[in-house]
Amino acid sequence: MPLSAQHVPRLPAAALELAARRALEGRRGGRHRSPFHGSAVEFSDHRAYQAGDDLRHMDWRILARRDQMLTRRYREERSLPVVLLLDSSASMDWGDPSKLQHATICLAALGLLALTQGDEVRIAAGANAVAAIAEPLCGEGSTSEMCRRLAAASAGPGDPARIVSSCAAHLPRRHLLVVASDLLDSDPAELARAFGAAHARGHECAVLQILTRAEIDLPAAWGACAISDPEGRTTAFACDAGAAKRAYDLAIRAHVDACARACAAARADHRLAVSDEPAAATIGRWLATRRARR
Amino acid sequence: MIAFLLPAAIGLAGLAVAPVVIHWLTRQRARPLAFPAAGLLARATGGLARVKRLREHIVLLLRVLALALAALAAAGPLMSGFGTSARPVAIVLDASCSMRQVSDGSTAFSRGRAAAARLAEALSPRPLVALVAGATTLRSSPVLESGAGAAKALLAEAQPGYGDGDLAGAIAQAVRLLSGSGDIFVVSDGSRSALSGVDTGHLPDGVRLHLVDAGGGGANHGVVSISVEPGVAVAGRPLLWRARIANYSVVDAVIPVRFACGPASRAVDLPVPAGGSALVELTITPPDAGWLTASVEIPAGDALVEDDRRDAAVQVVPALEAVVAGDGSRSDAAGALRPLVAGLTAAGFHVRLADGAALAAGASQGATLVATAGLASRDAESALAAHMAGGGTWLHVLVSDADALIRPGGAIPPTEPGPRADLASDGRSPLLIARARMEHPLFEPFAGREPLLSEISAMRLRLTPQGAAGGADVLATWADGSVAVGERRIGTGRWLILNISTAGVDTTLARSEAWPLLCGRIAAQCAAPRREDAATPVGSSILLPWLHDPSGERLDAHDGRLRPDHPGLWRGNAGRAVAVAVPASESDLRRIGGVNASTRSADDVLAEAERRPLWPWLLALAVVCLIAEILVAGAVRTVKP
Repeated sequence: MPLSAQHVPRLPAAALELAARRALEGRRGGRHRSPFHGSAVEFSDHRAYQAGDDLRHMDWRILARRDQMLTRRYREERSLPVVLLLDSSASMDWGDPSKLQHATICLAALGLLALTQGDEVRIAAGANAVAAIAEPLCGEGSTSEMCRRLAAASAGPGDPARIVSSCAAHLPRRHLLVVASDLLDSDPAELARAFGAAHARGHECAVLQILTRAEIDLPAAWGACAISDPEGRTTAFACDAGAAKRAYDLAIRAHVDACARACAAARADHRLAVSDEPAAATIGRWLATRRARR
Repeated sequence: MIAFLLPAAIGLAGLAVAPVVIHWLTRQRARPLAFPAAGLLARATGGLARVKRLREHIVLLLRVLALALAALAAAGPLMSGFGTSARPVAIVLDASCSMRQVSDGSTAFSRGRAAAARLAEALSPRPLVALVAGATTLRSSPVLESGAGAAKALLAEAQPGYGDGDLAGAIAQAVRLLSGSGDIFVVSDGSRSALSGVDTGHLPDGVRLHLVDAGGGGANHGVVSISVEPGVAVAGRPLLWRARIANYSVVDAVIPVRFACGPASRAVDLPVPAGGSALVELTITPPDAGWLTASVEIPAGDALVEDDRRDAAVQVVPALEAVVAGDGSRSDAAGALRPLVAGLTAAGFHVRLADGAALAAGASQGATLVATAGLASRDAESALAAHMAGGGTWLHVLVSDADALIRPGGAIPPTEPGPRADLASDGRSPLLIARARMEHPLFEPFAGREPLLSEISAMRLRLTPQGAAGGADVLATWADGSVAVGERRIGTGRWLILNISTAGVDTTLARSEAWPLLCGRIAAQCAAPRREDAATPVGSSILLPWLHDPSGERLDAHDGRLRPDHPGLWRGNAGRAVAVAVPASESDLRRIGGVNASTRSADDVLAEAERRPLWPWLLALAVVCLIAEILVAGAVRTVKP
């Protein structure tokens, strides 16, 4: 799918900010909290003076009052390391616009925002997403490259829980992992385990669950159908949409709720998006919600 | 074993595939659709789809079953082989004259009798009774019996009559014998006369009527009536005979007819339309009084020969005769008889005087009018009843107390006379006729001369309370409301009551100008203008003590009545002739249309009677299937996941 920087909605960086809820380990200096101490303006704590410490950081006032040599420490602000994980399984390539298109644009918009903020963005997409994690992109000049990497995601079977687990283990530092997937074939328990493991490794996870309108509200007008699974996991079967609507709608609602509960249990952020809504609105509302909860 | 009344209707069972075809044509075509949430959808609706598919199949099956059962029911299935019914049986054999019709070399009666015997044999294990509806009698085997010995004997000796068998009466008798439950088999030729009056709709619920066809229905011609005009034959006056010839066939015919009356005779070839009739006329002037006979013949050669000859007889009287009786010992000018005789003589009657005993002995024979006034006894009651039954008129003048007590034939008198009142001795004014029905034919001569009636006054009379006329037609009343003149039809005759005594001491009638006019009018009414049939149907009741049949055998009356049982010219005393003929209705051998004509052979009827109808059960089952289909189909439509 061709995706260029012109197609990516530009989110208002002044109003919206992609930020992590926990201190992550960006490689470059930036505007986000990090677990590192260094020269910065935000005071962190004191520690006993050690030989070799820069005397500029000596707290002279305490030395004068208490005759105690303490060195002032400052929290270092670094860039936000973001990994955009795109589920490009066959089930995502369905709907008009397809969930894959919507997910790609949403992630691209998010990536663009991060690049605008000076953060580093990694793309993990396609059948072998973990192996495809490349060097991080930095600066707005990398927008086109980001789009290219997202659009080049190859279709193939992909289990979001497994991909997240692999990424979390593979990444050497703490990252913000943003997953865009329909989670239709995901087991909520598996999701909870994968996101829990990633959280334990210091990562922060966020999930954009993208579904089409028809998947949320089964159209009764479809009538009798011979249903087949695009991923081939379920044997084709006959079904009357009118008769099945009520049961299905309850089931999909329960599944979405279960996914949300699994994410919450693993302290991961969960957001349900409908593919026919504008990507900017989807991401904008999500970021606004994150900001309000922060 | 199952048989069908309408086997062709089984073809309707092909309709049972209609729901399958409709289901196949209108079933929803499933369009292929790739759906990412197929797994969820399958888990959510898998069981539901199976239940729905099962219900749809059940609905389809119920529809097919309902249609198939309805089609089978329409074919009228009958099941046999489940044992013999114990319902009692009555076999009614038609022995009317129409059963004498010949076809295929045998009479309908012989075939019918054989069919009845076969039925009796086949049904003999059941309680059975047989009835033979003959011309004059209804013969029956004594009681319901198993083995049917008496019934078979009755049927074996049964012979056809010449009259109209009363099938309706026989069926009513059979219903009584069956006590409201059983099978009645009526063996008949199915002609119109045989089945007229048979109403199957009024049978009790437990009684089933089966009509067994004895065959027949061939073309027939017959002499159905011989009328005479005027109705009273008077010597020296012309008499017109008219014979009606009927053609009961489907083609027009020219029927040769020979008409004979005394010395006169006539032979004509009479064209008669199909299903219609035509008249042959013969005029003769009888020179003398006595009995005059006539006969009409058409050559034999049709299905029924008994109606091809018809005799007729009329009595030629020298003049209109009146018998005046009564007034006891009073024969003076003030008595009632003398003015009565004078008035009737003036009206043209040849008057004979008699008393009650003479009347009882037959003095009224040949008279068209019997007038009584002051009759001292009730001896003549039977004779007066017979006179009126023969079409005569009784002029009943209320004079004495005994007059008020006469009850001819036990009939209710036309008026109930009250107490006799002597107005003059009571100091009361005489009564006048206050109201008369001037439109009545009796008062026709008084049109424009009403005062003649209203001037009649009574000094002594019976005060009859108003409204006590006992069914009589009140023609005139006195000023106090008492009946003055009343009239009542008794059979073909007439009872004319006159509460206006002809005695001069009682009323002014005898001195009035109204009396000759009234007598003249009564005389005119006594001479019947026409007699429709100068023959008596076989089996009719005749009030004579005895008659000789055409072969000379004497038949004596029972209870004062004779019932001639075969046609011909019967003779009585003093040369009296009575023509007896086959009832005209028996000539019509055509089959009656409609429900009553659904006759079948004995074997068919027997088979049907022994079989149990299955169709009500099949129909009920079809309805049950339909109801179940509606319920299950409703559940399919309203199924909730």
